Amino acid sequence: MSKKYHVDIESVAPRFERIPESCSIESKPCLRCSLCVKYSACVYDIYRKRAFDHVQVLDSGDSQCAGCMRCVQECKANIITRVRNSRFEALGDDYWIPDIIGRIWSQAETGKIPVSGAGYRGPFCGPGFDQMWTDMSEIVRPTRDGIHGREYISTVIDLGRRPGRIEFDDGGNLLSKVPPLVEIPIPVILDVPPIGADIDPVRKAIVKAAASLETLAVVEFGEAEGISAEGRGRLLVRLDPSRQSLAAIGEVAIVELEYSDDVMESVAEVKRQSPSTITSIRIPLDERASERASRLASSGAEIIHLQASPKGRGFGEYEGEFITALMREVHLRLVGDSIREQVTLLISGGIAMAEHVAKIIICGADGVGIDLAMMAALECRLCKQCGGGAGCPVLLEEMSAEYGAQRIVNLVGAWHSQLIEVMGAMGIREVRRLRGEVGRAMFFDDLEKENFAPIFGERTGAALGSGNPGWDAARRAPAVDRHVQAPEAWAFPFAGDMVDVCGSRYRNKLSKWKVVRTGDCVACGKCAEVCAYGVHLRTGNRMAIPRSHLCVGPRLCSENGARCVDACPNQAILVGPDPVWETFGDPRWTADLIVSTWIQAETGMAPENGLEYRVGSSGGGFDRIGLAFPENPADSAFRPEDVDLSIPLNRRRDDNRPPVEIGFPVYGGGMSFGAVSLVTLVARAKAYGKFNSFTCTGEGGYPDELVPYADSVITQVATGLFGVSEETIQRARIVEFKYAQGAKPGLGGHLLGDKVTEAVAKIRESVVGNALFSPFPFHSVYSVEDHKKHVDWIKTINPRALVSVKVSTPTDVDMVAVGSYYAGAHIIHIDGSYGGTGAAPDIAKKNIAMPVEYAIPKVHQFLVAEGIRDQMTVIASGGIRTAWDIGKAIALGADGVVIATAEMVALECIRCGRCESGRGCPRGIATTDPELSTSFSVEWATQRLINLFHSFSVQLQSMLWGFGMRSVRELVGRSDLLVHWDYVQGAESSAGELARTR
Amino acid sequence: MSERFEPEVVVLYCGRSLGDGEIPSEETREGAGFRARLVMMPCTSKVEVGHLLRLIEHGADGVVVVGCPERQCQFLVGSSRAQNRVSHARTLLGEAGMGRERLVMVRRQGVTLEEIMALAEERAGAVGPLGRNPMKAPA
Repeated sequence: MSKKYHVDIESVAPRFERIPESCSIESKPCLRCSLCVKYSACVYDIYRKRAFDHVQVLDSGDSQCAGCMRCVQECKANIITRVRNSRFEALGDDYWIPDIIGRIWSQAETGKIPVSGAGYRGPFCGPGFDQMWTDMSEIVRPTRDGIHGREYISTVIDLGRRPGRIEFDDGGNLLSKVPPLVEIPIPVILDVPPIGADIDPVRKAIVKAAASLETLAVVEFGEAEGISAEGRGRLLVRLDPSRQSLAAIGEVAIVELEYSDDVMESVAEVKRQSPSTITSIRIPLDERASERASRLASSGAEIIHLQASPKGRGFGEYEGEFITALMREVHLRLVGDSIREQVTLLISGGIAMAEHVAKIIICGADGVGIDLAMMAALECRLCKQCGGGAGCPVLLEEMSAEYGAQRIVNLVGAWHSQLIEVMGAMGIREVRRLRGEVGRAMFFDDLEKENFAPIFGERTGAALGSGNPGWDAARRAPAVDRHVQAPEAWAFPFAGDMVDVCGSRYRNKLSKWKVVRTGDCVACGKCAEVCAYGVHLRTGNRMAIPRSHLCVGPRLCSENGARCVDACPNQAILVGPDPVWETFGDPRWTADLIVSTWIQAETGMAPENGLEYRVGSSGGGFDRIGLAFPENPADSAFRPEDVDLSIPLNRRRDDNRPPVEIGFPVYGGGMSFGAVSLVTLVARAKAYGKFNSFTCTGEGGYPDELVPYADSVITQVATGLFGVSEETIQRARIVEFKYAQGAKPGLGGHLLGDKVTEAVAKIRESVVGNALFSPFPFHSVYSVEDHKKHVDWIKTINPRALVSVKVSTPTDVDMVAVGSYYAGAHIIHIDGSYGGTGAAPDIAKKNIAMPVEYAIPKVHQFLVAEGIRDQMTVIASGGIRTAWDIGKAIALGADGVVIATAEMVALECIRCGRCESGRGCPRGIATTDPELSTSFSVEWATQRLINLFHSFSVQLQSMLWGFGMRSVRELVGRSDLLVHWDYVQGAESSAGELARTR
Repeated sequence: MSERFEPEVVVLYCGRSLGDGEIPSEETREGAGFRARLVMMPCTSKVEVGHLLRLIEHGADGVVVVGCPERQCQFLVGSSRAQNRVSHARTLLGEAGMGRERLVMVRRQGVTLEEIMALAEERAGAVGPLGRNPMKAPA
């Protein structure tokens, strides 16, 4: 198959053990007990396979570890812990961060798209490319699935000068002279890396890879002399016309000249010597770049190759500017000059990830040059010690060119597949059509202005200080809402009696603080006397091992004047942050959030041990939005427990379907049988039933075990129609059409063959062990009219069911919502891009479609403007983690929310993201493995979920009581009650709040 | 004439024991009459007895473990445990007739790479009298 559709990859094992992100440490001597978790708990059997690599001084077990933490939590002697690896964190620099290098290593090894489960786990946004999201087409577009589908998506680009027009004579014969063009199947050329380019095997690997990929390698003039005539066809040779003559190397595809004022004279000279050779002019991306590009293009330049810094920035006065903006400037200048179509624009510098290729093309490039990414593909650690006395730590001098070439091919192959994913989601089948399509992208500043500025006003200068608001914000402490002090603890009315303590499945609790008692302890018991949290316990004449998980940290105790460390007469107590806390969690789901969700699932109430259970630290969206409670609520003559949390789901006035009301403004997202275990599915149905709410089948059919809970189960109809029948539709009170999902907007589903067990295959009417693909989008829906037929179909089959339409969040999500109303849907369910539980390509989770925080007000306001808001139920999902997120989503304009990841976390998911691989979830939640999926009972899981929902309900009642509201329905669209800490009003509030709370 | 003995010293240093502003380095440095391989560790408590012996087995003439001072370790007592492990490994080396001095642990905070090199040089000097590691493959 042509490279434009598929790049041939071949797994290439690394020559060196990869440096792990974190390491396991045995903090105490092993007891050598007979039930060692190293062999019984490790799903990946790492402890048996591990070896000490004396060359790298690495424990290979650390490289293979998935980070599920089961060994840490199950060790009988509690001796295993984990720590972030400072060696990994020292890789690269502030742009080529360790995570990027690690991802490149993986892709170069496997050639596969990085896929993980449990949603996006990075900051809300970041500098440069991370301020951009790509669009997707929801319903009205042709089928596109360039990887698994039958449609081909082309990534071919042409390099050279394109004629402004073509003339024919009366006989239809071409009169115009067509300039030479080089066609490459992928919009990527292999440029000269700024480091390591003088290492012989590196250069050879790059040239070989270019030949294999049928693209071009940029080489120095001298290097081209030694390459065969055939090989020279894949070269872009750098030429200095003052010293070198083209005649010395013969025919090459393209020569490149450095920019100078008289560079066009050199171009003319090259053309005189070899008319068929295409010329490229490399110009630094500085403040003169657009003017120079314009002048060169007008003078007949064929290719303009823009050079940015390795960190994706410009030069000169543009040193602080990022290439997305600079690329747009050059592109638009040429568009304005009406010469953009005639010239090819390439850009090099700072292209570090697959999404960067798509995004810079959207900003106006025809193609990109990659450089440092290739070095990372060759296992380079970007330590920049090349040529020094120290020598290359990965011995690139000894690498074989074949090995290096395949690693580069694998990397480009993985990027190619991801480019196709992004284009497929957008409904674009030609990468040439992607160029300059900024209308099919969303930019942070625009989204903020359109969706947040009307609510929050003006952004503060401080937040924009470095030009990277989200990035900066992620490094600040999370926003702190003022606690609402309700009169006393209470139980959610119809669930209070169901709350019951439901402990962890695991022996050892993860602790934020580490408390150690040294050998100097004389067991005087003073520590137990002063500690208000039960960390220290005296049993008889001895002190028990400190219960670190109960410790709230030295600051709080110091404020209270009761600190065990100070009380100890022998200074035998040490307290400090536990490094294990940094080894799990991420900016969206911090370790605090994960563990506090565990605590809520255990106790039914929010934690009181100082953990931040309300927001994460993603630096944007819900994590920078606060609730502005009045000092004195207008109405407080009622009890918090009397606040009504129920919401109606059928608001339409034009049909006579039965009213459906849920007991609290939450129902469960679709997770299929196959993606999660049957135990998990049934537990969800039972728990939601207790709250008069719903769970959703997902696209995996309707297991018989769910039938007894049919009143609490939504039947999902998704594109694969797996397990969908008239019976399952007729059984449901709500039927959900899943057009798209936030985890992978615009992409189809993919259940790996490993997870298609006999039971899964039976219910999905498929074959055991065969991977199952759900196409995207519905093959039966190509228009809004088709969409209406879909809704009518369901309504006809089940005359009493409500219809929900689940969509993702493209730029036109508001139009989709209105269209769904007119198609007859009762619920519009918008699933933002940062959520999702199932395995999805990382590029999709992070980059495609907008975060739900923007989509909610956009949809709400549009439905209001259309006069139909009161007849449509708006449900939001995709990153709703906490009760506080629920409150903020409703205040932004949703009626209710859908959650899913929070449920998984309640069942002790630690978000290791290994839902999709091998046996699936090592913690037994998202798996169909017979052993793992029965590692907990339905009763245990149901109780954990009930407890979590109860905690959410109580917190919501507390919030509403704080606002003086008697019903959650009063909160809908009350964005005036919100503050954003990065906006002027919010910043002022924030300062005040922080002053009061700290 | 016998080949001049230039000890190879492996330095395992805790990344947190480095001083502010020190750029972590992973490299082999040539010293005056010795070579030092610098390897950053997440914590010296990651170093197990088996790791130390394996390094000696594979030809290191000396190993220096650089950890944080007592009570300043991120694991509070991690470097103390590393100290115990190093002591145990030294005993084993002594019993095996390899020489305890091939192995040492130093506990410092805010250490610079130059100081680490000085420690390596000190170890190279200490293993000099012991001679070439007998486990080392013939040159």
